[in-house]
Amino acid sequence: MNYATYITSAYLLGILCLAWPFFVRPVLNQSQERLDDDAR
Amino acid sequence: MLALKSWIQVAHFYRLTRRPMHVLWLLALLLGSYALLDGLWWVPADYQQGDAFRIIYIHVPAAFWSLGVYAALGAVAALHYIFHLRLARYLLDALAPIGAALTALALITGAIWGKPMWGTWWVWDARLTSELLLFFLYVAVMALRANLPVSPESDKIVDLFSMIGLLNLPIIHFSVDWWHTLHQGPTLSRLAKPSMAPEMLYPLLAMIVAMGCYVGAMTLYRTRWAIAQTEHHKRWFQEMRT
Repeated sequence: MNYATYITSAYLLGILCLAWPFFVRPVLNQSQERLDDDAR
Repeated sequence: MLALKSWIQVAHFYRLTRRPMHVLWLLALLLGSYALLDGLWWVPADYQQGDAFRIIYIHVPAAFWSLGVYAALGAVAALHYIFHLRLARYLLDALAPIGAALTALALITGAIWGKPMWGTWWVWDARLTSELLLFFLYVAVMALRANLPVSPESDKIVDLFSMIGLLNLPIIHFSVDWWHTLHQGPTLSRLAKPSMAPEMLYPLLAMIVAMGCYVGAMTLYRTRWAIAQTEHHKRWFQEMRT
């Protein structure tokens, strides 16, 4: 493999990794607020 | 003090963070575009590594912020442990996947850089192994949050586990000084006497700032998403929508 292949793969994987947190659904603890003192 | 107090309340945080989030996305886009153009095209090739050194412009910022995000995660865990702030829990949930993604990126781009330069994708040296441990810490925090039942005890376990993980940060940072590693020594902590030519350093610094803006924007985005999903039935949320 030449350097261009390494560089291209590194940056393409970079885009994938940086985009991934967009799709991780938040932890939904509906009852979380019961535990914390500023719940209102 | 009053301003600080209103920021740590979930409703105020949600109202106040919309515009800062958009500004951070814009800054990340502008600075990142400049750093990519400069780092990938305008800067000349390295005299030893040729063009392969250009991987530095994604590897070092990702590694830098993989530590920075864990420091923030440990801090919000401590805030939640001491003050039981609901916002601190939302922030922890938002930060964990971002940190995991950045750590994975640092490990993957390190392997892709290591293959042409060292002749191997991976070695079990101190820097690489401690960074891999950081990835497992992020995954463990996410797994604990997703699977433990909601209780004060579970909350304490997550907070304490996250805070104990902070011990790994100095180990990662100083690993290249404390042990003989295949990984090179620090590039950034020697800004007074940098080990890079200035024209190569500027896009690196720009990319680190750009990735910092990305981390900030993504943290706000994920926190606001979780707040909207969890608190949409509350009066403050519905009043804000009307």
